[in-house]
Amino acid sequence: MSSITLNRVTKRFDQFTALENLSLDILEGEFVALLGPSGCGKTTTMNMIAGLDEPSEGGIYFDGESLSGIPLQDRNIGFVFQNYAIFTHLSVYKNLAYGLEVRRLPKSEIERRVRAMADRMDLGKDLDRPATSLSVNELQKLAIGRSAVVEPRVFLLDEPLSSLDAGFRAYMRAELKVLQQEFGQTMIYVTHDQIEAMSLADKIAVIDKGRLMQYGSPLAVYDDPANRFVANFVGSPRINLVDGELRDEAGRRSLVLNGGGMIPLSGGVDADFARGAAVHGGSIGIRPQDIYFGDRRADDDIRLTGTVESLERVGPRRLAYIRMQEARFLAVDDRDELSVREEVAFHLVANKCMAFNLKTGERLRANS
Amino acid sequence: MHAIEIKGAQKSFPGFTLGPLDLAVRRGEVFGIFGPPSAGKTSVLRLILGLLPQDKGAVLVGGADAASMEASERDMSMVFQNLALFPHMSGRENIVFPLVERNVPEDEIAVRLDAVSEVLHVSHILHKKPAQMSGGERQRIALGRALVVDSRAILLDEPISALDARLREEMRVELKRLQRTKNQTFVYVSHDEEEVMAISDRVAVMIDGQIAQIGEPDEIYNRPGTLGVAKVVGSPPMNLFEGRFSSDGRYFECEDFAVPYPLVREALKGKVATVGIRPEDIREDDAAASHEIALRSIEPLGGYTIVNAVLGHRLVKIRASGRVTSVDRYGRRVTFDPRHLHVFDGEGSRCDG
Repeated sequence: MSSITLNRVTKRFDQFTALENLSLDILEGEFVALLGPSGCGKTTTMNMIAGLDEPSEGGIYFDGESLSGIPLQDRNIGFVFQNYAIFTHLSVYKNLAYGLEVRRLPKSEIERRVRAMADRMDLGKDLDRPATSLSVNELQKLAIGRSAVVEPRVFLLDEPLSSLDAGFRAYMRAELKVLQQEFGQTMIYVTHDQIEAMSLADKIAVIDKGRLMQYGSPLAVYDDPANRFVANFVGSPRINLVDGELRDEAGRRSLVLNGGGMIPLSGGVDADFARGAAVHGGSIGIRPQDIYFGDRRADDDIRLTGTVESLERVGPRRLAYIRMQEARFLAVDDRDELSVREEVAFHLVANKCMAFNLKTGERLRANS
Repeated sequence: MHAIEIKGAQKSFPGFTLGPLDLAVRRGEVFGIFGPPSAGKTSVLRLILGLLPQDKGAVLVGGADAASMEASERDMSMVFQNLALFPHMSGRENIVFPLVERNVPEDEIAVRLDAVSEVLHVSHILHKKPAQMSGGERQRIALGRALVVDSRAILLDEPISALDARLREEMRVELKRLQRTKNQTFVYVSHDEEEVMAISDRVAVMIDGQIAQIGEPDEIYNRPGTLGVAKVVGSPPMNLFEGRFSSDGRYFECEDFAVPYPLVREALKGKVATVGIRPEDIREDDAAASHEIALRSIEPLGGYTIVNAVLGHRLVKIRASGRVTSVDRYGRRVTFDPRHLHVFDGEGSRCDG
């Protein structure tokens, strides 16, 4: 187990800056997800921690000790990739024992640890089977078990669940979290899937275009996104972001939407925008579950009307796309009572609306 | 008249039989085909295209038997997962290629290109070559090429599964919008249940080469017709308990339950059965008929929380609305919403009381 520190790490490939000035503190035993879209620099970050690549600038430290110059095999890192690298010609037992044999552990110790891990991963009865006979799901369990059995200081996982089917993915998510709690290992998990990051990690580092956008606990990132990018990237169903021009007429502020329509501002979101008085372009973020239908529940809540454009079934809920001129709002149809093309009144919970500077993407807050 | 019909079509492969399949795609609908990998989904598209001749049965296109039709007469567009763009052509040239091939007039091409580019958000990359585009951009260009033609139907095979999760959510909404606006017929194949359910008007669930159920997404989600469908629809998946009904058919007995569970199924007296409950239909509750659980972990997802627990010997997933801040904050007993229990007999067929 180790703590990991990235101090102002920059990585350039020729003209292209893959990562810029990234600093992260990962505590011993923490589970950290690196989350971002394809090409954001998350895998580059992981490769540098692993020692597959060196930073152009800045340093990486394990327990305060610089890693530069320490070869990969001496860093004691466990890896799990999307394409599980399993020795298919070997038995399940041999696969699990491999890393321990390389380390020249006594035979009895190897046997004890292999059996314990096999039982832990539910592969106890498959030890003598050739790895080729395992299903895709079992192979991924074997890959994780094989890395975990050597008790690495740090465990790196690069999209380890993306080739699994949905049901097993949900199961493995829960399994990985329990495993990490049992092993107490520091884990770094790379993914573009915010649900995986939210459900697994103690902390999420949201990365976009090589820059760290926010670093915090899943619920902190969800409840209190630092900028428009994070708000948009984290949360399912996705947050509504409506963009427009801020207007102030005799002290009554509103957001005039691109393509027509207007949102009168009140309550918390009004105060937030008031704070950024010099800002012209604004963006309001509101999560679908913070929009409701029927009677207004609080004086500050913002009442709007629109047309139900479509309804879609997503898991246990129906989601409604509501069109207000050129703007669209996604809301949860929690009463299952809307119908397509219907005119509806809906309310935005004013204190749940987030204010962003449209130009910089920065979050605007009344009290900061 | 249906856009596409498949009647009793069957195709045998070594070790695998597709069908017999029966389905009818209505004009202007999104017909989804969902199933786990290797269920035969892509083979259905190949039947429709005529790339895979069936051993038995028939494929009808626009009401006429397609057996004697050339591929071009079937008038279908196709979007593959492995997008095949022409590398030497720009985005614009790739999109308009099928129109140029059909000698569509220039001004008409311009109008159609504009409409498609706007919906797919590709106006700014039309000048680029595929090599200069991101994966998502290439995929949108490939979609553009299929959508620009007014085909009888557009067949889409995992069209967005190579994209990032977030981009997929946006694209499926855009695709549906485009389909509605142009009133096109889509046959949409994906192994991603949420995606198919969200975009489709009706869905066929395929398992092991057979169609297990066809219905509207709500119906498939709320009333899966077979155990197989129940297993693959819903995320996290439905919790399933195997057991047996009492000899009077009034209780379900299962190793995982401390006491027999009161549930009436006359037809299943003394027979083996599986009872399913979706994660959102389990609630914290210490009523008399509740089940004791041992909590394992929580997954905070913002708007809701997944609670992982053990009931009897079985790992169960519970979807709690709102926040559960730590594993100690969830109850030690739960009940199942009796209105949303799913019962399947020994053969896996749904059995309602």
